[in-house]
Amino acid sequence: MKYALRIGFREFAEHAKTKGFIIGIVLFPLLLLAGFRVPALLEKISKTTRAFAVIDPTGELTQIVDEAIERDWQESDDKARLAWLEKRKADPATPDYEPQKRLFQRVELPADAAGATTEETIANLKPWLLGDKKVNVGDDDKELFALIVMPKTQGQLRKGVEYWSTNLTDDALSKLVSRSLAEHLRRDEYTSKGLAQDEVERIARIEVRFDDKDPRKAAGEEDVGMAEKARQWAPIGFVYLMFVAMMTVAQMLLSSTVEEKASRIFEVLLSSVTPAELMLGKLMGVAAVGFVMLVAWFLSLFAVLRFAAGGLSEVAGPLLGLVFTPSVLIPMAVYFLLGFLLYASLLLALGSLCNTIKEAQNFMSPVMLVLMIPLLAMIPVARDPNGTLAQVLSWMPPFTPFVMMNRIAGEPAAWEIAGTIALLIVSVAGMLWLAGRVFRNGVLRTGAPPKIVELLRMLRR
Amino acid sequence: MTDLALRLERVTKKFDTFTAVDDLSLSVPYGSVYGFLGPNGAGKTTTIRMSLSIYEPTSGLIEILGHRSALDVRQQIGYLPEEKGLYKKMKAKELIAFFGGLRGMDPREARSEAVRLLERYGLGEFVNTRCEALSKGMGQKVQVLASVVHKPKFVILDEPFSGLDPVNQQVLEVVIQDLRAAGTTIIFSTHIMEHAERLCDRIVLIGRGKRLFDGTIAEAKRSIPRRVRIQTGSDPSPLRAVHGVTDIVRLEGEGRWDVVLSEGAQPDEVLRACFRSGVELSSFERRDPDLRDVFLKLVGGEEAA
Repeated sequence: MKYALRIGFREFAEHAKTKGFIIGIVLFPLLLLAGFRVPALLEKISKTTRAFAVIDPTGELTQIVDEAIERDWQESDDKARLAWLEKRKADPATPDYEPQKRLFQRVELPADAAGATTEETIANLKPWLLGDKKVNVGDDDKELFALIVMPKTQGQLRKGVEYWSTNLTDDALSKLVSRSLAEHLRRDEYTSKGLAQDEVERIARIEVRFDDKDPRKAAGEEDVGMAEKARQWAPIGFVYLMFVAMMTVAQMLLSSTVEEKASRIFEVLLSSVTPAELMLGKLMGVAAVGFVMLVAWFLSLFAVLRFAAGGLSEVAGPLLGLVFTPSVLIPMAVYFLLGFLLYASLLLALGSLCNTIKEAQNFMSPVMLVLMIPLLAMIPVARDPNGTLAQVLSWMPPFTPFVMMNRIAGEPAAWEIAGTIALLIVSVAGMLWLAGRVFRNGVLRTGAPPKIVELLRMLRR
Repeated sequence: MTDLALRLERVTKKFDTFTAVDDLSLSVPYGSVYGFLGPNGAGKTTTIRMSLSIYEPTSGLIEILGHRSALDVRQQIGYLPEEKGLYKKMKAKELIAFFGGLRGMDPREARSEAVRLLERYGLGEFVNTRCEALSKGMGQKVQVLASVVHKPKFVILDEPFSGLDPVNQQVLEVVIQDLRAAGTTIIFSTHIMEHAERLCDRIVLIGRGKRLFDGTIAEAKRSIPRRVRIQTGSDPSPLRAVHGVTDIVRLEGEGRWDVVLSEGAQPDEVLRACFRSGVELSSFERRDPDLRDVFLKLVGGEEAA
C-alpha cells in the first residue's frame, strides 16, 4: 500500500502541477461569474441608440410608430426603475437611478434627400443607409440604421411596408414597428365591428394562473417555489460537472499511461511494485485530482450563486441544502466514486495497450459514445426521475452512476439505490479484475495495439 | 541459504509459440560483476525481466537474493532497463528520489541521497532541472543513479552504455567500479565487448535463449584457438604441416591469411616454419583472442546451426 500511495502521490503531483489544471480550477469560477455578469455588462456597453427614418405618404402612420417606440422604452425603463428601487431599499448606498438608454430614435428625413417621388427619395437616401453620410441625433452624428417606407394608403398596410437596412440580423426595430402597425389595424377592425377599445384590451389580457403544489409537503405549505424547481433540475448540473470532471481526468489518465508506456518507465516501476499496486496507485492519484477539481468547482459554484448572482441567490440556499442533505450527498459520493473507478480502470487498461496518444484516441471514441447516452438522457430523466427510461438506464452499469445521480432529487426507492450500488460494486470489481489482466500484459507490450482475439487471449493469461 | 545472488535453474519462457529463453541455468555469486552477452533477441532482456519477477517463467526455478520473488527483496535490487525513459516533467532530484521511494527509502533521505549522487557524478548543476531539459546522455545517467540511489545489494543494468558518448561511458564505468568496491553484485548486459572485458569477473553468453558460455573471461578466451595473422605473396599451404596448426583461413585483401593454432601451440613455430619453407612475410601478427572473437565464434556458430 505504501508503494501504491507513492505512485498515487506522484501521479497527483504531476497533474496538479500542470498549468492546465490550475487554470481550469481558477477559470471555472471566473467563467461562471462572467456568465452572470458579462451579458448585462455587454448590453449596457454595446446598445447604442439606433437612428431610423420613416417615409410616410399617408402622414398618419409615423405617429403610430413614434408611440410604439415611446411605449417600448417606457416599459423597459419602468422595469429597470423597479429593480433599482428594490436594490436601493436593500442597500441605501446604491447610486442614483439612471434612466434607460433609448434603443431607437426616429429622425426626420435629411433635407437634401427629398425627391419628387417615394422611389426617388429612397434612391437619394442610399448614401445614408450605406453609412457614407451621417444623420444628426442630438449632439451625435449617426448612421441611418433603417428606413421604413409606408404604403401610399393605410388600406395597403397589410402587405405594403418596406424595411430598408444593411443589418439583417437585428430585427428588434422591424418587429416592434410591424407589431404596432398590426395592432393599429386590429384596433380599427374591432372598432368597425362595434367593439370598444378598452373592452378589447380587457379581453386580450384574460389569462389562467397555475399554482404548482407538491402533495409530499405538509398541509398549508404545499406551494412550490422557484427554489424547489431548481432543486429538481439541479442534478443535471451535477451530472454535467461529473461528466466534465470525468472527461478531464480520463484524458489525464490516458495520457500519463501512454507516456509511461511509450517511455518504458513501466519497466522500472514494475521491478519495484506489482502491477496491482501500480494500477491502484495511478487510480488513486487521478481520483485525487478529479476530487480536488470537483470540490473546487462546487465551492466556486456556490460562492458565485451565493454572493454574486443577484436574483439567483434565492436559489443558492436550497441548492446548498440539497447537496448537503446526507440522503443526497452520500449516494452521490458513492455513485461518483464507483462511476469514476469503472471508467478510470477501463481507460487505464486501454492506455496500457497504446504507444501513442493517437492510438489511444481511437479507443476513446467508443467510450465517448457510451458516455454520451446518459448525457442525452439527462433532461428526460430529470423530467421523469422514476419513469421507465430512468429505471431501465439505472440498471445498466455504464450508465448507473450518471442516471442515479440524475434521479437522486426525485427520491428513488431505497431498494433501487441499494440495488444499483450493489450492481455497480460488482461491475467495478469485474472491471478492475479485467483491467488488471490487460494492464499487466499490456504495459510491457510493444508494437501496435492488439486485435480483439489477442485481447481475449490476454484476459485468459 | 545459498551464496548465490541469482540462481536460474532450467528456466524456460515461452510467448505463445515462440521460445525466448530455453532451459537456461545460471549462477551469479555475491559480489561478482557478471556480464550478459549475446546478440539482439538472444533472450537477455527476457531473462532479466524474469529475474526481476516482471515476467513469470513458463517453467524452471529462479531465486534472487535467496527469494523466489524479486518483489520480496525489492529494497535490495536496482534495475536499469534497456529502453530508458524518464518522467519529463519531474526534476532530476525528484525523479531519483521517487524511484528511491519505490525501493523503500524514506522520502527525505532519498532526496538528500539523490543530490549527493548527482553531485558525485558531475550533474550537480542539474539537480533542479526538469528531465525534459536534460540531454539524452545526461538523462541516462540520471536513470542509472535512480536505479542505485537506495544502495542496493544487487544491481541489474540492461545495456547501460548504449547511447552514451565516451566521456559519459567513462563516468558510468566509475559508477560500476564504485558499486563493485561497495561489494554490490552487478549484472550488466552489453554489446560492447571492451566494457565487458574491462569490468566483468565472469560472463555468460546467450544465443537464441540458450546458454552458450558461462565462465571467467580467461576461460572464454581459452575456449577459442589462438591465431596468427600473416600477409604474404607466396602460397601459405606449407604451413599446414607445422605442428599445432589446425587451419589456414583466407581473409579479405591481397595475400592475407589467418593461421589457426590448436591449444598450447606456439606462434613462434609458425614464424620459424615460414622462414624454413620460404613463405615470404610482409607482416606477421600474433593475435590473442579477445571477447569479440569469442562472441563471433560462439554466436556465429549458433546462427549457422
